[in-house]
Amino acid sequence: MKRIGAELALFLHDVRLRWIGAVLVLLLAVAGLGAWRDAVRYGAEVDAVTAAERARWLGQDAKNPHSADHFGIWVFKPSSPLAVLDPGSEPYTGRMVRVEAHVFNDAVYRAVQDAGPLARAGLGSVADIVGLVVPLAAILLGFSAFAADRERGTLRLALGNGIAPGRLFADRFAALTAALVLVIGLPLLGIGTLVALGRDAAGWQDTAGWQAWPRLLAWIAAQLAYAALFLLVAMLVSLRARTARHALAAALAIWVGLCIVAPRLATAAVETLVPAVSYREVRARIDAEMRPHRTAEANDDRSREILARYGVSQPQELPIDLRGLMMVENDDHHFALYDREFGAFFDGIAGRERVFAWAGLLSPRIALQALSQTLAGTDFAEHAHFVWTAEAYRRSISERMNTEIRDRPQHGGTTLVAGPELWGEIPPFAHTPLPLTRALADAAVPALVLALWLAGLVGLCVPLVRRLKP
Amino acid sequence: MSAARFPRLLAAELRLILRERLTWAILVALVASLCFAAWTGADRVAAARTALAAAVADSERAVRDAKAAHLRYGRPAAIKVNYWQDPTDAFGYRTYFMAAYAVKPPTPLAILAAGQSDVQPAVTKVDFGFSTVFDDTATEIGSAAALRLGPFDLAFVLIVLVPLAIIALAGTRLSSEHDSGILRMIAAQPTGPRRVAGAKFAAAALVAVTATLGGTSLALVLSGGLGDFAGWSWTAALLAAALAAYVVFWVAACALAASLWRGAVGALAGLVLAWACLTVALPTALGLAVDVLSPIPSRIAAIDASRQAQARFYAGDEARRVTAAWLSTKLPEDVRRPELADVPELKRLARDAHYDQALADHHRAARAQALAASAWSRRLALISPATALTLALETASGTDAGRHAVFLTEAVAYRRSLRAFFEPRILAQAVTPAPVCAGCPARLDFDAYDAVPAFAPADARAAADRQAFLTLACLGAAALLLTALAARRLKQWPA
Repeated sequence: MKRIGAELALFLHDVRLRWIGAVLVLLLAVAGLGAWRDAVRYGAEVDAVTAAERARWLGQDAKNPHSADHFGIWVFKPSSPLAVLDPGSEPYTGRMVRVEAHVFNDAVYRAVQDAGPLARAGLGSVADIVGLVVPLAAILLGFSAFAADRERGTLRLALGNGIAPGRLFADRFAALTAALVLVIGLPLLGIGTLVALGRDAAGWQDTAGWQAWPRLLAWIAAQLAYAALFLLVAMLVSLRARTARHALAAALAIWVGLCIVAPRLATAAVETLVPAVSYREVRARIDAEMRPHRTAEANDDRSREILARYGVSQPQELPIDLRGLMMVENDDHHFALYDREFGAFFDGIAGRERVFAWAGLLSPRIALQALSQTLAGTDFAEHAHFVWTAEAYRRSISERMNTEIRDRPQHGGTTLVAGPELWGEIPPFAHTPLPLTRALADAAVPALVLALWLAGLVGLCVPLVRRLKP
Repeated sequence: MSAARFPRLLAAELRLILRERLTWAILVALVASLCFAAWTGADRVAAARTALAAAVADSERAVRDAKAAHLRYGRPAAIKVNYWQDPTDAFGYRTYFMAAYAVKPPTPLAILAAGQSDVQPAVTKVDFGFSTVFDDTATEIGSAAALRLGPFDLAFVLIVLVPLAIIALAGTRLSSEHDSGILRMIAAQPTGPRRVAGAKFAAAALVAVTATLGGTSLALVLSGGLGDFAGWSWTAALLAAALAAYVVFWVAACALAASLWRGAVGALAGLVLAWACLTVALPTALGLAVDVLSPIPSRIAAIDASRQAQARFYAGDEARRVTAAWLSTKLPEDVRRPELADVPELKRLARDAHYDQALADHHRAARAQALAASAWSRRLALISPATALTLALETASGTDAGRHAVFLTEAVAYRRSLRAFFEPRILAQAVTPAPVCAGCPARLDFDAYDAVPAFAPADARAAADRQAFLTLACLGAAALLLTALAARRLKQWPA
């Protein structure tokens, strides 16, 4: 511990650490506070419009239940508290859905659509900064750990004093890790605490179910593990490099390879190896299948079939409302179609996301991205969960409105009119996030991949440290 | 040293640089990256063309189906055809059957940059429903992980990897010689530092420019993803010149780093940090500046406004009143009848007009913001060489945000033109219903399927030329500035 303290004291006096720390804290603070401000604004707007929508739904005039179903309601995706740190898939997926009769509407208005064209440069969020800049910081801190001493000749002195190479390596690694915790871990913890406490205090969105604190701690641990991984890379290179220049050049080349090139190569590779049906094709297939179902002839056939089923020849003789029953059965047909097509589509994307987690074997940045967004509750699984929750809500409204029409047959050309009692039967939309246990299960693969990277690097350390030459 | 000896010095440096194994490793990796990026780009362009072809096929299918229905329902039959099932009716066809698309076809240079194409689809179906509030809701849901990491396209290789290759190639020239002491021997020769540095960095520039332009051309040819070049050769030439200026800019940056005489470690660290600043940090800062300069209007406020309008329309007798008011602007007084305000089709047209009016301010603000954001981006992009070249490549590819903002405006105009086409026909049918054959189940008042206006996409070439020229001017100026700074500092050998 004493030696670690001494090494840490040396690093703390290093102007490099101060500069790197200052830049990192500044970047993290700007990105974190900017995201927090946006999240507070979005949350407040969502709360206000959700209340207004509920009031509009309940305050509808008396009308036919099917008209109320068409009037519909907008529902909004609640954001995870940790979206401030890692927005994950949220900017790329819609967060607002209009639920209405017949239609499985898309979640619309993706933040990335509204963002300017320059906003996708790469440092848009705290998670982006950790993914891209923190490895650079770790490299700049660690590249000279042994190479500079070797170049100066002081490594020979240190080893000559009887310090075991393994101990020297461990002490320096521990000291540098402590320095990284100081300049990365503490700012992340600060922003995370601010977000979690701020949300609880403001109460602008229900935080129940997110389990923000365990998520935050696990998330920070993942980021620190990632930083430590690149510190190990830099120190390993430093163990072998003849000069600090060589060490820096090699470490920077590795950074470029792992953080810049490999992630994009992985994108191309995954898209090639795991081809996905385009959303446009899925929509086209659904339209094509619905078209013959919607024709007047098909409608006529179905109504005749219902009359035959009940053994009557006229709709007025039915114990139920023909139009209502046809709407129920029509929706059942649509639901089955949506379940099949969108179910397969969303499963396909989820499968791709899982492959991306394994693609972390190409680059720890990919593994961290998958792990980080899963722990933050902003991954695609959470989005798909919201989409299907909204769809389930839509179906519950349609089913209630249709059964009201079906079970109250009208005769003599009159139209059923319902009022506030029926509207009030529809509960407000409630979205509960996926449980933490599910997130942890989904995080298993990227966490394993990140652990493999760390284990691999530690495994490399052993022979290299043993063969350390002054 | 006489001027005549400079070419010999340059030739010697060229020989030296081409003899290094590292040079060839870098060049091979660069050309391989370019070829791979061009291949992914060709795939993307092919997918875009497929989407366009599917849109065309769907439009034709809709017309075919409607014509078949016209024939089918033109005979007496004992079925009931509701208005939402009737493509022989102007309102029914427009609202439930027509497949009209606004499309943004790929330019001949679309292979160069994915740009915003992965989040802003090039095909949008024009419909007259009210499920959405804005017109930019066309979406192509894909892997968020892939979208976050970004595509491996030519723009990525040219803008991000080429500078790194140049830094690897030329970043430690002179400074490594300074570190190893060879510089003292060079300084002992009767040559000035400018000439030595000039020869070293000119050789590096020649190799880098040749590899980048040659590699890009080779990749484009091999991928087969270039479209018909007619009229776009000038744009391509401007882009090639801008790319060469970008390469020279980075070589000049290497020269400037060397001229600081901080050693190879300092030069390399400084260059990589400069690269990170120019390609990652500065664009992010510029993105934030664009957000501040053109604040995004609230989507949620627009949704709220749309719902208020919808709730108002359906409250009490408001729908009838709004429809009557709308009819008074559309029909001469002598043909207006009170019962027309109860015709569902006319109520729907009046409702759409009512919603449009209620959302007009929000639509205007959204369009103005999109145009302002793209205009500010165009201006601010010129501050960083990386963003300047990115925007030039995206504009030439037709995948830039500016083109999309214009496209959305055109799509709105197209929707208006479709409304102008159908409205008089729907009104005429309501006022004076067309006689239908006895026993025929459908309305049979519309058969002008082939006369429905088609979307005419705007030409993206002028914008591409302008952006490429501006980028060339800026990058040329930046390269000259850095060269001049380096030359000034290289007046003397280091002490």
